[in-house]
Amino acid sequence: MSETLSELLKDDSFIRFLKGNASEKEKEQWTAWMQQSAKNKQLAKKAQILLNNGIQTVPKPDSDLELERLMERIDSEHRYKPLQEVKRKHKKMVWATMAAAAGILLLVGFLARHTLLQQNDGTESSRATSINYQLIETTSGQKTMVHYSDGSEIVMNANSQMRVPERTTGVDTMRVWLEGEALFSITRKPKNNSRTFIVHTPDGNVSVLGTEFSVNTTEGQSRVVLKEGKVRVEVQDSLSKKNLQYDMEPNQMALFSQSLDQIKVEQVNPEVYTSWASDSLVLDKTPLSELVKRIEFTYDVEIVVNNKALLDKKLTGRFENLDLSFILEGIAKTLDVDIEKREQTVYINGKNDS
Amino acid sequence: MSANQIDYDNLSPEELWKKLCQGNKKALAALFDDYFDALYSYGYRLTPNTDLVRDSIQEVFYNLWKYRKNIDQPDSVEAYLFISLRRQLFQKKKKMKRREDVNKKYFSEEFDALLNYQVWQHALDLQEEENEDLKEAVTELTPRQREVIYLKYFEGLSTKELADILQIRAQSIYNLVHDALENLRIFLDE
Repeated sequence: MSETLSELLKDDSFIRFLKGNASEKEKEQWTAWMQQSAKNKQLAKKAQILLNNGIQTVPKPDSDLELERLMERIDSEHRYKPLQEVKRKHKKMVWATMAAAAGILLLVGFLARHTLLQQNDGTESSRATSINYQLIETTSGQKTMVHYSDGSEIVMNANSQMRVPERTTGVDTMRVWLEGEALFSITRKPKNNSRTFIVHTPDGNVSVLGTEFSVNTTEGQSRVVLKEGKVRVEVQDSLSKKNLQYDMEPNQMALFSQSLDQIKVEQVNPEVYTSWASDSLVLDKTPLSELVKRIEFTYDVEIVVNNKALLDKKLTGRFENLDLSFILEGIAKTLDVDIEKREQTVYINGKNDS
Repeated sequence: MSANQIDYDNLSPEELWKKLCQGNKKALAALFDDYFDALYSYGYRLTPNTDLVRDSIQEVFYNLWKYRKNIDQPDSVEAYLFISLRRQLFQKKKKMKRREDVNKKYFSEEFDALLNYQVWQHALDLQEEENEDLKEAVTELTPRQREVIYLKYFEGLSTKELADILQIRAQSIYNLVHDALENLRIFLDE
């Protein structure tokens, strides 16, 4: 048996002995060993102190209250509110409405990713009960399309889930619940039979009157990109009731979040934000930081960029092949960096980095 | 306590598991009671966010209750609870990370097992200077090494349970422990 503390700590049997999990035979052995010498006894004592008190304790919540919370939830499921959600109560309502319905409208929103599929916003549920909904999910690198008889289409990007109605007929308000990213192409109904289309996201609703737009809920802010037509973005703070609005022009991107008190507007190339739906990836002076987010979301990988200066580098171009290794190779060549992929992590290192 | 009442405090986690699977809520409560502190301490070191850890523990036990008819009895109930919490936390963390600024926090794993250095200094009879070196040596361990050390030495989990929780081979657990102890050896064996 060992003579040093570090050797003893490697011995599973010794640890079992100190933790009180040892077999009778092991107990006998170690007790005998301790009696062999004062030194052994001393070693065992040191190890015991380290194992019992050698770690800093963290302040713990009252376990009785936690148990109460669990039991309440089991007894009446609907009353349960996770702490994370309670804290998010003061969020702003976000929606975009279509002002002029001519042409194609393109809308991309980046909203907080959240468990909206189970979420009931209270105002919508009663009328929707007669419609059957189905849940569609995509995994990493996967895309899926939903076609409706009236020609409406929804393309869902990877790592997303969405609850959609099974049909569009006989519905004046079509609702979907999205977590992730999707591109909607909604067929307009005749004038006096107009239909409202609403995408529910954790932050609010995006409602339009038959058009093409895309919504993404993977970031902590909302992003609307308009390709054609006219769109109104409205943000309402549920507490102050203060309204912000902006009428967007084509090729504009509007950014707004729960923490910003204004709607930021930029000129953009809309293709950059929708190219994923047509199996290509378009970059137009896109910073690497942006591309990194997109790749992480689409391929469910983690990207580590060691040299932060690289994140500001801008890329322009088009990938027609959406194979991850192909894209990474493209980045490596364009930025002259080393890229290494180990399991689900991608490391991007500048060539001169140590 | 009358004779026909069950003393839940003296039941093993495996016995509690069997009872709760039969729909016994008291067994669920007893299991919760037995493991809440240990799970919280572990979870907090994976993600120092009280609310997140508390919610995740709720999730673990709620799911256990909800799916009790479909879950097979695990070899180790303790390891099962740790695995479930770990999974819950990583899922929630991943969702949260997506919302965070790019590259602000790119750790594939974190584990903050702070030692009680006073106890170490005293037990190992270290000089002030050596104690500083020990702190540095612990900081230099990988998050995974810290997690293994925490679960093995402070939670008393077996190598097999650790391999299940961390989803790696038992041999890799031995290696992690071995390498970590080698780094700390000069302090341990002085």
